[in-house]
Amino acid sequence: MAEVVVSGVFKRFGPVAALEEIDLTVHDNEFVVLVGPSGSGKSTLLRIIAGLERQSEGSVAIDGRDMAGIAPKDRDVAMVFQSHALYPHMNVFDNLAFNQRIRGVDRKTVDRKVREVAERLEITELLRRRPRQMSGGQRQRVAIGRALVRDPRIFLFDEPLSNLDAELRVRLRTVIKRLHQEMRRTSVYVTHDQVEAMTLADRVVVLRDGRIEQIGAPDDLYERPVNGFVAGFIGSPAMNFLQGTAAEGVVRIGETETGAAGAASGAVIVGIRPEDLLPDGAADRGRLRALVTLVEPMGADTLVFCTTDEGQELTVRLPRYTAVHEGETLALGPREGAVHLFDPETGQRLN
Amino acid sequence: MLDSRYKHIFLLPALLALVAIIIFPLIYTVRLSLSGWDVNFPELDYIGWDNYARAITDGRFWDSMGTLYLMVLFCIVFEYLLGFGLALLLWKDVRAGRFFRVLFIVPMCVTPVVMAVVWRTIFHETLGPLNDVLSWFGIPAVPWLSKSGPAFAAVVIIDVWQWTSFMFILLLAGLMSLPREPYEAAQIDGAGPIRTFVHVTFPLMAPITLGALIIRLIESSKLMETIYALTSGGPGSSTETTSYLLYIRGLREFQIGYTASLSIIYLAIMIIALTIFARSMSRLMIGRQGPVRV
Amino acid sequence: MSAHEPARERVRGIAMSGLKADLYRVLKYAALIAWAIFVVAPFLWALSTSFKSDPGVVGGATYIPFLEYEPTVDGWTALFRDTSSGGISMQGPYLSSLVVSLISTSIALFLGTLAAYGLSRFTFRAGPLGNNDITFFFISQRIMPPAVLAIPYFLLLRFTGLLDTHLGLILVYVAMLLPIVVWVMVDFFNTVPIELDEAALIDGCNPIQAFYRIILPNCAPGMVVATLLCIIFSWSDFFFALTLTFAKVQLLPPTIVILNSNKVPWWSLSASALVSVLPLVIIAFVLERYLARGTLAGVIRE
Repeated sequence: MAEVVVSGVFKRFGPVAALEEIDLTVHDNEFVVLVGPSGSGKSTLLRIIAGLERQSEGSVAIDGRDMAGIAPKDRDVAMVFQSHALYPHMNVFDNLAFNQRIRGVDRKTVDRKVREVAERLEITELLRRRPRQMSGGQRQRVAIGRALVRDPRIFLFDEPLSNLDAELRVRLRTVIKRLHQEMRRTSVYVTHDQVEAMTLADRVVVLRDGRIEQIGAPDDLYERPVNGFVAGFIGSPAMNFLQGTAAEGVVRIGETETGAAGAASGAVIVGIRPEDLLPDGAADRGRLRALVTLVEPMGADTLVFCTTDEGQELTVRLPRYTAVHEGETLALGPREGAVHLFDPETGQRLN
Repeated sequence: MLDSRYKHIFLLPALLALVAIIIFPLIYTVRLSLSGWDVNFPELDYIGWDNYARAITDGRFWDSMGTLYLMVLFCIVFEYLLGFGLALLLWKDVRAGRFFRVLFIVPMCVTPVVMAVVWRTIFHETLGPLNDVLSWFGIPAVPWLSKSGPAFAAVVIIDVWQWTSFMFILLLAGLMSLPREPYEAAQIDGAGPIRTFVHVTFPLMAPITLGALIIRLIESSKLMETIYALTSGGPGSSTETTSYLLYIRGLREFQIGYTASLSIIYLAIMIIALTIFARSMSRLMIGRQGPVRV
Repeated sequence: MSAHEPARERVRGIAMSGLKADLYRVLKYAALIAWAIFVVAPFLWALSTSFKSDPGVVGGATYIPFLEYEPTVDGWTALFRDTSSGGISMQGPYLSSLVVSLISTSIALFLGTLAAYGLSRFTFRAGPLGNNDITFFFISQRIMPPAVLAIPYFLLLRFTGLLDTHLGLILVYVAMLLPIVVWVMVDFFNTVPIELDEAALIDGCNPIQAFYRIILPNCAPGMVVATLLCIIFSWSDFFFALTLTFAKVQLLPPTIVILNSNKVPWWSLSASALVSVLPLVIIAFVLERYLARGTLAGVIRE
């Protein structure tokens, strides 16, 4: 049972503001992912929740209790670090048991808890090893185990998978997701990887330059980004942005009519996701002519890079068996209702 | 950086200890230097700048400083050249490398003044082994401790014996921590051992060399114990360093006030000289060298 | 380049033809052996002298026992004999030196590691001065020549009644050793990632527990180096022992130096010198392991 309420939090390092006016509520049992490019303040926010750093202004409350002046050890939170931060002078068993021992839990209970967690994470055979005798993936499993033994109110993850190679990252991601499904503990997870954010989160918080850009479920963020930054940050390959104009309810790119403009008028940025650009026949609105410059077969689908007649770059995601070659010209049209319009000045969503 | 209300628990005890044991006595010295405290008049009166005026014209004091700087110069040049040479020899895999390394750092670990006592027997004009060995080569007996030139040399020899080991271990540690890539690049570019040394090793070693030189400079400028045990500053006052003179004036003759003023002048000159040395050497050794290129 | 050369040498790029390489090797070992002889010569001389008696000394330098002189253990037994029976009775000074250097080393390590940890982990401000300035302030105390401090120490210890006491000397040694400890340990603490502290704080430690249960055990090599350096410096100090103690407290170095001027025979002098530096020679063996293993830093990185 734990709810985290962050309200009006500012963090300044001298004249530099790392966080500005952060308001965020993490509900009980919810898995919230903080995502953003480096320097967006996401780790700082997590560390403020953990109590490792003090905010310059504002408050953090856990279960309605203000955390001001409460040391990290007394907040009942557990944290998994990017660099695993296992104690090098202790073996795995002692690493897992340390937090229980220092809290004065009796030997038998500690032993039982450690073995349970080790079993669960399949690290029982590693219990006698030192951190330096293990691989990166094993270390990070132990680091997760260290948090599990605590059985805390809140789990905090600070880019736990960033130092691992791609394959391990996917494996451990599912481990974390399963654990959360089984245990339903309030979790806050920091990452710069939007795929991790999309796959793990109940809700995603997108941060940039110390401000929250958007909070929402992964699908909401993907389908209705509130501004150009979120639109470009979420989704891989990134959304295409084209310069267009809106007039009389219609959006045009060059001479091509690409969708409904709603109330917008004048110059606009037209955002279309790569999978929402359909080649000849499949699209039902006007066509953009684009010269294919590069084809990347990805297996499940194929990425096609093109240049439009107006000289704008486009990425298109086509189904696996589409035969496209460099030098060809495609006629592309956006999927109905999948056109995002943004203000070229402010970046805000217009439709 | 961590953040804690407890942080002062860590720093303050040591800081207070240091202030109490070093800074406060130093301030007290400044006050003493303005007094006429001596054997006949052991009180903290105020006589203004008289002591300093007297110090300016004290030839023996300035001579001792000249002796000190000449000694330090000789010692450090020899120690650096020998230490760097030995470090280069032991840098790469050498048979019995560990044996040599241990042996070579023994001198810096042993008590200087006790070794000076042993050296005194070695330098003995008629009974010591040094003149005996020299006589095998037909070299006549050197009056090591009774002529000023040889006495000066004797002090330098002992210092070099003792502290080359320090240069050696610091420079060796520096060499072992050098990155490997510049050497591979140099090899690919076809640079021979000498060019590699001049263009890669030496510039890469500049920062640690500078550090080692400065540390040795600081430590050797305190030179006094060897002289106390070996020559007592003699013959005459030819091997008298400033520290030794301060000891004689202050704690033998008990001219407390006057010695305090000499101490302050000595300290000021040393700090200024060290700063100038550090600045100019770092410009000379590091500033002019660009990125490593062969 | 010949194939039998070690790989390391090849990488360092020193390529030489066979004859030149052989010549280089001969010169290299000649130089190493020459320096080794220079280094051990005083010890060997002292060892040889310590077994001599009058005839072995007064007729000029002799080196080899049995051949050139008749060895006796008189020099060595004199170490334990009373001064009244021509001995030097070294046990007292030896014990004093041991006590003073161990206690001052412990205190300096205790205060110094705390300060170094603080400087490595927390942000301190004193007006315009930050952590680096405070660290420099500690280290810069090594500039202070003992001869400058001797006078105020002498007077201050006299006022406080600590002149010629173990405690007074220990206080002075702590000041001398603190900069060394801070210098070595700040470097070491900086190589330990701060996430370890943070993990410990979240696991349930307060900052002080995090320091001694997690960080300190991971800086054991640094502690060893700092401890050994402290012992070397305190065991070897002569100047403060000479000026701040005279009768009640007798440490090893002044005892030996005073023998020197008291016309004590060379053989007892040599024996006492060897006995007094023996612990330091042992320390050199341990120290080499740590010092030559790269720089002071970088020992802990996994």
